[in-house]
Amino acid sequence: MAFRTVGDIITEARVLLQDVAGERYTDAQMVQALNEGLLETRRLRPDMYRDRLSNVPQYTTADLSTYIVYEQMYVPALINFVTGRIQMQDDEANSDGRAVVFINTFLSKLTGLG
Amino acid sequence: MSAEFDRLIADASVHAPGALPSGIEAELFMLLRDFLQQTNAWQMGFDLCIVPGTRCYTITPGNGVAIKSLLCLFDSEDIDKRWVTAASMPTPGTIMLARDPSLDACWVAQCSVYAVDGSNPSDCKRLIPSWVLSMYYDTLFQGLVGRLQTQPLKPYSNTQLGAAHLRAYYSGRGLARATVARQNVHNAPTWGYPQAGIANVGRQRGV
Repeated sequence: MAFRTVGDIITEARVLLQDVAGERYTDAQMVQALNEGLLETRRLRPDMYRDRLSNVPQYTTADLSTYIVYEQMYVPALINFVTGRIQMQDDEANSDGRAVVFINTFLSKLTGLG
Repeated sequence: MSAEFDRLIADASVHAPGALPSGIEAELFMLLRDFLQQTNAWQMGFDLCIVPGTRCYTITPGNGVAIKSLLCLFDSEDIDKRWVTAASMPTPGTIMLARDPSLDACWVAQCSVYAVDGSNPSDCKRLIPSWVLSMYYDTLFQGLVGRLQTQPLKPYSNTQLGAAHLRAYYSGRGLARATVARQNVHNAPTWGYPQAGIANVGRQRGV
């Protein structure tokens, strides 16, 4: 699967969340987590937004088919963040430990060899 | 320029896994600016139409290029390219003659230049002559990898290795500076006979 759009990333995160049908988490929640991931990326890796340091792209549920502005080799890290961020929600289906693993994976991929 | 430029980016990518091509280009742009400013490797001659009674002249390089320093001011008909008169450049691009010229003449201001168009680092592909990258490839590679590896909190951060690469770069930059001072002539003497009208010892040495 090629990760080209906002929807592609959310779809892959849903696989890790075991919510392929989209019944447990809404698109709005997923996109919000994605937007936070982009802001975290800007904070940790400003070189990825060199030309738009004060204008990090933010998306809405209307942008699911929009091409995402994100370096391809770091898309797996972003998927980890979205998954971890959603897992942090106070929900009976979630596990804090799993959330921490995903978030730490995101951090280590962006700032280390992961 | 493009092939050598792309090769340098690719070689640096191998030593900096996870680095973005645009980030490498930006570092290369800053590296080339430092290299050209420190070595005077890239030089241009600017024609000056000398008018009696006028001591101040302005020279303008092309778009995206800036003047670093005045290396020599010689008569266009002088094959030895000796200084014609004492001159200074208080601001880059403005040449001040020490004395009023007495005759019409055509002089050439030899200046070192560097690329400044930072809005698009890829422009150094277009601006900088290809021989600069070919001739100093290894030195620039060391500097580029060193700069990348000394960045904080990146997958390719490695302070110790980066410092080693930067030491190699500084050494290569020093050699390049000496080579340029000798006009790329092997074993050329660094001294020269005193030149009329110049009190600056550095200029007499050709530095």
